[in-house]
Amino acid sequence: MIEVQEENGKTTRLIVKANQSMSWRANLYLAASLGVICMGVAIAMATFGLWMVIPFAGAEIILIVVCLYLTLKRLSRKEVITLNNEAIRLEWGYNQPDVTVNLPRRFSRLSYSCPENIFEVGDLSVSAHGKRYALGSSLNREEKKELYTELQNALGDRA
Amino acid sequence: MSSNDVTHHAPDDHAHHDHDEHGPAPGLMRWVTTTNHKDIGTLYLWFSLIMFFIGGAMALVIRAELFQPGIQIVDPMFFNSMTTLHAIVMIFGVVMPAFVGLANWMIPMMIGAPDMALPRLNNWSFWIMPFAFLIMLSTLFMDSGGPAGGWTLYPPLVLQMGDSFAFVIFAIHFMGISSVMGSINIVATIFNMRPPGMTFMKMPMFVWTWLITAYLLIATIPVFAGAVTMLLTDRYFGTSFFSAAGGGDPVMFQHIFWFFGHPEVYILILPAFGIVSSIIPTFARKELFGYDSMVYATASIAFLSFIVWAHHMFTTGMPLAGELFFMFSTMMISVPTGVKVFNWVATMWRGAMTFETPMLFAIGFVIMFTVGGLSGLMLAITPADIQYHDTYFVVAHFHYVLVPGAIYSLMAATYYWLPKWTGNMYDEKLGKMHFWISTIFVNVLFFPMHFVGLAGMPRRIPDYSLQFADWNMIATIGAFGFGFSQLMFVYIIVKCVRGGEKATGEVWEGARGLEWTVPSPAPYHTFETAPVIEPSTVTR
Repeated sequence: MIEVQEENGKTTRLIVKANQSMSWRANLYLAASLGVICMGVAIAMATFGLWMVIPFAGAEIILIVVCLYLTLKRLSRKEVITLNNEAIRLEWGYNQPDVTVNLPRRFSRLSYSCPENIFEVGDLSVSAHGKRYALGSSLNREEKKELYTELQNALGDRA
Repeated sequence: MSSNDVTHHAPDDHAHHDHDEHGPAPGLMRWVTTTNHKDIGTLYLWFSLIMFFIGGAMALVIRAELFQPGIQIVDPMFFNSMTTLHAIVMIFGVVMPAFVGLANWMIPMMIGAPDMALPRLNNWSFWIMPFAFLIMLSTLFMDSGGPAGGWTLYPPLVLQMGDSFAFVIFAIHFMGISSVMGSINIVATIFNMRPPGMTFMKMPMFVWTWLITAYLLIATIPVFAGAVTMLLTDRYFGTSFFSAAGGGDPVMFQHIFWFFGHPEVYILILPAFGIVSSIIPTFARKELFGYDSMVYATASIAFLSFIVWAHHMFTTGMPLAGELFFMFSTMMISVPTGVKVFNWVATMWRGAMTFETPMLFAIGFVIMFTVGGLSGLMLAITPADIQYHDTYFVVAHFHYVLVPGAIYSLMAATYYWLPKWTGNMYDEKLGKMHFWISTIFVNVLFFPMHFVGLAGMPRRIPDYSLQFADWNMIATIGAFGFGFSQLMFVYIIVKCVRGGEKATGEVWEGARGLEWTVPSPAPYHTFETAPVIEPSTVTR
């Protein structure tokens, strides 16, 4: 998903992130409900002496929690591209930036290749001083094109 | 700023992401390392097709032996191994992986997600399967032979097998781990990766049925894992969970097994309901009749599947109240199942129907699954079940549910979505021939089993009384006819993969849903960014 924010007509911010349809809290309830079902069955079995179901149910609950956590963590990752007259700032992270790259606006070059092969999504990157940074890694062909257009417009406005 | 200013706040690689950005890697390693849902779906589907022929070959060994009374071709121990492995392969190696393959291919496309929520876990959950089955099938070449106590693994019989027993348990654990990982992935995907506007009641029935199936798997696999581990400890570590001599109870294993085993039956059929609910509206050119009631009926079936397990055990003896409870709760399942059958028929009613191959298989499913369901209703009646128990009537019942039921739904799904997967249309004429030949032979194979079963022929026995000879001979002819007609299925698939008339994005005139909005073949990455689902968007 691409969200475009304008600040005072001087700064454009593009927030690129994957779609996330359920909140952390709702996922907690989901994990809890699955845990109650699994452990409920296991405890019922244990009361009849079949206690060996419990460790398997426990392991499964741990796996469920880990999987939901990893899913949400991945979906929460954002790519923030901030452009103004002077610089392009690239940030990657979850709740706060883990990696920040500041590029000089004047020496930065946007490049995009849209391959004809339907199996390829294309490369969108910004480069400056011999270093290249891939953008929109969570996007597909069409969305990469859209991000490229948005970036072109934003950069064009400040050219 | 004269140079680039890079600040790393954390050791994460900002360029890192979980799936291949530029399309498939070249060569065979693509299939080993892939995390793309379509690749993994394809792997599951090919795996299940291969296992279908392995399990089918075992069935032909069984039927060849039963062609005439007396011991003809294989010794009884090997015959028992064949019946046991045929069931394990068909359940865990064919139907379940095929449905997981379809889930991998279709769920992200149907809900508008870029991929499964956990692509690497997805890769693992597939690649565990071939090794599990290699271990399982390798027991056939061991001194003690393959498992021969039936797929239900009842003690004390199963504890009397040789040292290959440990391999069987190990393989079952692997299969369970694979199933659990696949299920968690599906739950995480459906809950977390729907685009804005894709509410639960806008999801296609196939997605709904798989979500409920995943819940069933998550709830029951630890029970099965615990059960087989207790068998293992009884055999090798001196415990007595199921040994009467040590204070245990072998019947308790049956309770715990069927607490897993009966929901397992629905794990094998609920996704089939979802497939048929996708196909019939397309070829009837009408919306699915009673979508909401279909969802509630599926959930009701799943709930009821947890409280009917002891109908498999009426002959072990149980209090009258228990017999009545399990009889009536089993009969209750026919109510939501009847709702489904009614809705499929109502969807077809006054529809502008055409009969392409997927529709033929879907209609075949509705009719023949209902035959299997009705014989199931007969088996639910406790006093009747005590007569039918362990006869070929039971074999006829569950084969009608699983072969013209689950397997037909898989064939329908393959024909339905093959143009979307490959970009080519399959050979319609051959597809229709495949349907009619299969349908004739599948009935020649399984319908006579009702007669010999009602006449008292026991299952899992390589020899039988002379009065059953004629029907067994006919059933064996049906088995070979059905088995060899499946080579046509492989030919049609391979021919379609290699080329053919180009398919459009929509493929079928009456198709609805997000998967038909993307080109054929579907791009390697479908919806990296969520599509916009307006209230008017048709998603199911």
